[in-house]
Amino acid sequence: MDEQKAIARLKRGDIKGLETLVRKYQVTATRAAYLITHDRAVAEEIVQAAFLRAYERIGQFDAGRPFGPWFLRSVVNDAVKYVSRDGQLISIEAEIEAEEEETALSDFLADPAPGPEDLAEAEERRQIVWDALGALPPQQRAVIVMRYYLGLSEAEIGKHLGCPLGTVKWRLHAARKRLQELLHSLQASWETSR
Amino acid sequence: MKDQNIIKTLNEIAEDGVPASLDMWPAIKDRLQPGRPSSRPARWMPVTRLGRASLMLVALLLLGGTVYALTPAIGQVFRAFLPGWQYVEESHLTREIGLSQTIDGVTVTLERAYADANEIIIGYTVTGASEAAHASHISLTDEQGRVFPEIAGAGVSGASDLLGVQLRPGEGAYVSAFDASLVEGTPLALSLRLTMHLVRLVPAEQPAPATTLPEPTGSTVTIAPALTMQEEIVGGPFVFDFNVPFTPGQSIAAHQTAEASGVTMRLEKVTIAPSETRAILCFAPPDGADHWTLLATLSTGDGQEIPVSFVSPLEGDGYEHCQRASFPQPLHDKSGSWKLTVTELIGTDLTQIPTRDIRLAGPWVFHFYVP
Repeated sequence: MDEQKAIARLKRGDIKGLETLVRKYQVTATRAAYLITHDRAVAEEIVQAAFLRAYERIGQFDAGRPFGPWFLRSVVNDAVKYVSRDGQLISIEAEIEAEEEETALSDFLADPAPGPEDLAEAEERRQIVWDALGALPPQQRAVIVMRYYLGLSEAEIGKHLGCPLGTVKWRLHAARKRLQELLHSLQASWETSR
Repeated sequence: MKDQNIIKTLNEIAEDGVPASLDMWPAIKDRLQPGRPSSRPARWMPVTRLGRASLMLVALLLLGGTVYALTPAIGQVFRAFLPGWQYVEESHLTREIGLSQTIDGVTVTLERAYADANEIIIGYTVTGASEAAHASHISLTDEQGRVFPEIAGAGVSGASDLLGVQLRPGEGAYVSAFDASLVEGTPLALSLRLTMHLVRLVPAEQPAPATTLPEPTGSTVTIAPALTMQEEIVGGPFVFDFNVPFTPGQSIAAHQTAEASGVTMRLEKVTIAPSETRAILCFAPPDGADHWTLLATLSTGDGQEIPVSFVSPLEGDGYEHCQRASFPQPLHDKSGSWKLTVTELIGTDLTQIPTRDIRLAGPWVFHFYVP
């Protein structure tokens, strides 16, 4: 069943329509929520609640719009609210030294080398990024996830967050800078502890 | 190309954390709990300012409607009765609690809660009752033992086209609001305990006797009260300990006085929060009535005129002769020069049958600035 038909069925109260939407978006939505909340169980609960809310409010949904962005916005907002209310931040104790020259985030993340001997290094890299992401404030975490995981443009992020493009650019810049600082610090901690 | 490394790493983290085989449809389907259409008429409880009054059940004649599950019905109750509650629900300000207790086959689930400077609002559902039992003897307390008075409630059971719900027998969705003005300062969250018993309304075995009154014409009229209902406890106590984030309101300490009809009225303060805007008005009540209420209008800086929805007496030291005037709209994003106009005081002598009203004309006008 395609998405338009699924929404039409759901508007008539047929939960088969919801099943189609769940199967289409559950993984992406849960992964986005997981990257923000750092908690899989919470992420699943947030996404389930968002689907239930979509079911309740499908009458208000304009079927001419795509469902995915509308739904994912709701999930990202709930995930940010969860993190904000629980004050969930992973503390980084190492001192952060500001870099004089801004380096692109990806310069830190070396190109993944092929071969199984680099699996351990790849795992390390993921752990460092995971920890750094967890140390970002909720809103910055959200823009990083929306930009780099959900693949949204800055304009689309602005629409999601309901804020001007300039604000999005600033938040993304601040998030990148902070993430870069954290990555450097964590990398130093990892290297010291090995 | 460089950003591709970030994208790749985030994708790897996401795939590690959440497998592609994730299937949440069975869980969602269970939570929807699609039920057979019910032929029972809908019952819903209107919002009332409780004080010493009991909740009354009002029967609706609506049948049919789209099948909605129990948990979404809570959302419908939030949205259907008061603008402030609707705003709280639709702005996702409530916290999902999801605590359940089952006693004697009756399950009460504390679904969600919200707290700000004026109200603590909780939504709960009931399943498994033999009739659509509602909660009574509800008490809400905090860690300091403060008791928050219940000030409003609403709910639904059965089928309702108005609310778009169709619940199975024994199911109900309810919202109760408590006065939060006892909260001191601006805590980040409240630690609360909700206690309730399940009750249902049943006809009283001994209805109240009829009353015969003399008429001015010399004849008599007999007033036979409607069938009296009483509460029968069917389960509990259910006890829920939970935390809820606290949204501080904006408090305007007005301390202004105005006079009309020989009555000096004082506006003590106005508290503006998402659930409602509340004004505390105090005056020495004239003789001749033991219950007072008032009519008032609140004008916000943008020209919106809002009539008062609820008026109830305050209790507690220092608040004798004070009334709580509630405007249950979300006005917390408005600022500027506001005006509160009390147009009339209405006193009732409840000891007289039929009751007598004393009406004192205003206006008592108060101006204040909301930053």
